[in-house]
Parts: sequence; C-alpha cells; structure tokens
Amino acid sequence: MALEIDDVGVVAGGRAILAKVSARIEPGAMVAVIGPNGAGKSTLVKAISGERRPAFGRVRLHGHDVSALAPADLAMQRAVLPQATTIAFPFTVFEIVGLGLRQRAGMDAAARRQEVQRALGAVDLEGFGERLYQRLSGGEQQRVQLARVLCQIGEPVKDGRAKLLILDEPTSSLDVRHQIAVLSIARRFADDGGIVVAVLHDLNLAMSFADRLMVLEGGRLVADQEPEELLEGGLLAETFGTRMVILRPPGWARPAVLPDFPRLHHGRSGEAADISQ
Amino acid sequence: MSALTGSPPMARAPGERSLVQAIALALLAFSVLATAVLAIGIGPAALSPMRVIEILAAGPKTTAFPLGDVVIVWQIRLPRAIMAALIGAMLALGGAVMQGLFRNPLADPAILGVSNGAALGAVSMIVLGGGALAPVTAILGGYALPLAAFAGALTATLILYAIATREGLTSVATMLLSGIALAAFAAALMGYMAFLSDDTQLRDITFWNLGGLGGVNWEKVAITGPIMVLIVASAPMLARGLDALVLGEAEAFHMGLRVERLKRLAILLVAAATGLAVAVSGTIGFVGIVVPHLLRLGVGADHRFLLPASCLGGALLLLVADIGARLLVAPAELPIGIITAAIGAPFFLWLLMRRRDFEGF
Repeated sequence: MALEIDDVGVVAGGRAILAKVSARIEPGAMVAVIGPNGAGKSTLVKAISGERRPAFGRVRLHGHDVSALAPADLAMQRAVLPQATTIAFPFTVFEIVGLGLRQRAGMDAAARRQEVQRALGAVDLEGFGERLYQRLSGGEQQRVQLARVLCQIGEPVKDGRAKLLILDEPTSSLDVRHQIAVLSIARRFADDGGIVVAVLHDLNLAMSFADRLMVLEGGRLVADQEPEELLEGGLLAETFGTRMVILRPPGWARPAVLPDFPRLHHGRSGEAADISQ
Repeated sequence: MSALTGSPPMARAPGERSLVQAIALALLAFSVLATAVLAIGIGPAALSPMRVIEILAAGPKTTAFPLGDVVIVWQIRLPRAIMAALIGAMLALGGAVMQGLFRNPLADPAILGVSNGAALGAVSMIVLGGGALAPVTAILGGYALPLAAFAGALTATLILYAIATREGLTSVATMLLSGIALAAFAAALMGYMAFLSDDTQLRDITFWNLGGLGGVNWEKVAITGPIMVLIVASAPMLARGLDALVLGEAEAFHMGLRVERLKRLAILLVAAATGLAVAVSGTIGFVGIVVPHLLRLGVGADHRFLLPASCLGGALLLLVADIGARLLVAPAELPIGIITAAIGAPFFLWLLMRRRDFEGF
C-alpha cells in the first residue's frame, strides 16, 4: 500500500521529457520534487495524478494503475492543487470550494455548507465565502483552491487506505506566512497518514517540510534522499548550477541553504557565475 | 427584468444567493408567460391580454368567441409565440454552453461562425434539395432542413474547437479569429449557393438570413419543437460538469469529471441548439451572448442556475424582440435579427471595453 512510480517515461514531440523515474512513497510521507526549470517536474506530476498516461512504466496507487482508474474513482483518492487558476466567470468563493465536494455523495446542503466553511477556515479565509473569486488576489485565489482540494480529498486515510495529495508549485503566489501555512496543512495531511507529493521551487521550504527530496534534472531522477543526505552529496549546487551556502542555525533541526547570490558577499563580483560553469 | 440588473452578488450571507437564483427563475418564467400573452394579443387585430387568456383557456375549438379571434390566437399567433420562445431558449442556451465549453464569456455561436455553418447547411439544402440532394429530402421530408443546419453547425463547432483549444487551453485570440475566418468561409460558400439558386430560392435565402418568424405554423412547431424541448430538458445534465470545467480541463479531470465526454456532449448540444434555431428562423445574433452575460452579472454564474435561466431569458428576449419587429414598422414586419443585432452589437462592444475589469478573458 503506497504510491509506486515504476520506471516511468514520458515522451512528447519525439523527445523524452521524463525517463526511467522510479520511486516508492509510503503513507505518512511528504516528498518534495525539486529541480531546475524544464527538468520534468510538472510532467511527473501529470503522470502521478493520472492526467497523462506515461509512454513507459506505470504509476500505481495502492496497486491500481492511476491512468486506468475512472476519473471519479481516482478523484476520491487523490487531489491536485494547481499552480494558479484564473476563471472567466463571476463565481463566488463558496461555489468554487463547493466544487470539491462533487464526488462526495450523501451530503445535504447544510453538511456541504459546513464542510466548505471548515475548509475556508483551514486556509485562513473565513468570511470570504460570498466574495467573487475573480476579485481576490493571487495568493487568496491559491488558498481558495487549496480549500477546494481539501474538500475533495477529505480525510487523509479512509478504510485503511492513504489518500494522495499533489501540490504543483503551491507557494509561488503566496507571501511567506501563507507559504508556511499551506505547507503546514500538507505536512499535517502526511502526519495523519496521507501521502503528499509537492513540486517546490523554494529549497528551504522543501527541506523543512518534506521527508525526502526527489531531484529531477533533464527528465531524470538524479537523487531521492533525505535533506541532510542530499546536502552532504553536494548535488544541489551541480543541479541548479549555482553554489549553495549551507546554514545550520543553532537550535534548528534541519539545515537551510542560501544560493551564492553574487552581490551578497565581499568576494570578486561574478564569482558565482564562474562556479556555475 | 429587475432581477437581472440588481446589485452584483457580493457580501451576501451564505445561501442567500441560491434564494436569489430561485426568485430570479420564477420571475423569468412568469415574465415569459406574460410576454407571450402580450405577444399573442399584439397585431393588426389587437386583442387584450384578458381576451387572449380567455381564448387560450377555452381551447382551439371554442365557439364562445368570434371565429376570427380564435383562429388568430390559436392558428397564427400562438405557434409563432411558442417558436419565438423556443428559439430564444436555443440561442441563449447555445451561447451559455459554448461559453462554458470554451471557458470564455465572448464565445457565442453567432459570433464564432457556428450559426453561419448552420446557415450554410440549411442554404445548401434549400438550393440543392430539389437537385443533387433530392433523395435526402425525399426520405427526411421536413426534417431535412434542420438536420442539414445541425450538420453545418456541428462541423463548424468541431473545427473551431480543434483550432482554438490546444492541450485543454483555449486562446481567446485564436478562438475569435478562427471564428471570423469560419464565418467568412461559410458566407463565401453561401454566396456560391445563392449564385446557383433560382429567384424563389434566392428570396427565401435572403429573408431567412436576416432572421424571421413570419412563416411559423403548427407544422414547423411540430417538427422542431419537441427536439427543442428535449434540448432544454437535457441541458441541466451538463451543468455540474460545466461548473467544474470553469477551473480548467486538467482541474476538472482532477475533480473526477470525464472531460472528453462532457466536451462531446456540450459540442453536440451547441450544434443542435444552433442548427435548430437557424433552420427555423435564420441567423439571429447576440441573444447567446447578451442573455447569459446579464444573468451571470446580476444573479450568478453557477450553471445549474445559468442554463435554465438562459433558456427563460432567451425566450423572453426573443418574444420582446418579436413584438418590436411587428410593431416598429406596422403593418409591415422587420426581420427579428435586425432587432437583436441592434441591441446586442453595442452590448458586445461594451463587454469588450470593460473586460479589463476581470482577469481571465
């Protein structure tokens, strides 16, 4: 019982954009997918979510091929928070979040309303229900989407089966406080027995919230390790093409990294650029 | 109409919106019936609304009223009012569903060439029905024209969708420009058909293109009416799917929707609604864009409300436009398409001007 990514390869336009990716993610784990732009992170998310059937290999959730499951059955076991969602029609926040409940049978109007209010509370948006989604800021819209996703996925574990929560760059439009808040919700989902896969750009968010980091580069999985292990190997600097400074503030359980920004220190200007080559 | 122009749906208590929507639906339904009675009473032989209701209640074979009045109400004006309402419903519903399918409030069968596709199908049938397509007319009879219009609308919708939507994303510019090209291409072929036609066919084609309900009788209602009612009745099946599709195709799939199936059904419904409307009354523009947009703005965008409300709003608008068409140049009659375009085209321009207020289109 787990999420199994088995030798997955995806081809687009005659080019392999993902090749031979394998991993196994157990219930209770939160895994961050990191890598430079164009590494194949979004493609991996599409394969895991069942949206895109891989040309090679298979993704199984609790033994079932995700691209073979009926959309409605899949939707009860996994939910996806997209990068950003704009809509063209004046829907209210309440209506958008309520869409998450479409697969949840046996709920009357009052129960649905309560569920939506609870989800809005969880993302710090109490009282936003009747606002128009289009009029919200990007960060607020992103949290509305998370509330919708929480409504869809419900409990992290049901009938002994862990559910899968996928986040595709969830924090790009959020301020720091809400980045932490959103990832804390995901972390709690994993701690309560669910499975979380999050594509993240911010390495420190990835290292502080995830149990493991899957590093993609050029469509290949170049590492799948715990944060400490990954830092020791020195792979990050190579993958991202920039030197990293590792910080270990006293009292912190996990290290943090700081990219070697050229203007941050007294060294020769342009030094960091040299290192990337 | 006051429900349509009320304050924007903001800062209301949860649940109040659904109440507002229920009230709006009831109000619209009542307005449609009231306007239909008014429309039946208006004409060279004017009848009071009370009289119309009495004659309708007495049945088509009544002898309690002058025969002339009974014939006017039951044989001439009632089928026309029913057809006006049904065609209005088709046009507005086709617009609402197409906008949901393309996730864009500017999508409309008349603007994007789907109506022209339907018109090309119908014109081809008018012109070739006696010649090359004679076997088809022999088998299908009165259904040949609506079917040809449906085939034309379906072809146009499929082409448009294939061009404008790539990997689940619709480009507004591509959609509008390919719609223009499609409309022009269909117009060119229609011109060719007009060139092939004889004088009678040419006159039919011209009048029919402007949109008119002049020739409506019970026979026409019997052929297309039941299918139109079926379309109105089946539209709510699409509502929840279209709601999910608002977020995007990938998101709708993530929420458990069978996206491809929904899109096929939506395309079929748009083509059927447009094809039927065009077959009966020619191309009548802008109903499909004005009605759903006002409803979204005033009451709500939720498709479970929007689709039935669009049917009622479209019916109301076309009944009003038909009254105008018959009154403005009485005793002659304006083609109804002129009225809807005169209202709708400025509205469309206004919509384009204020689109910067909302992101997403």
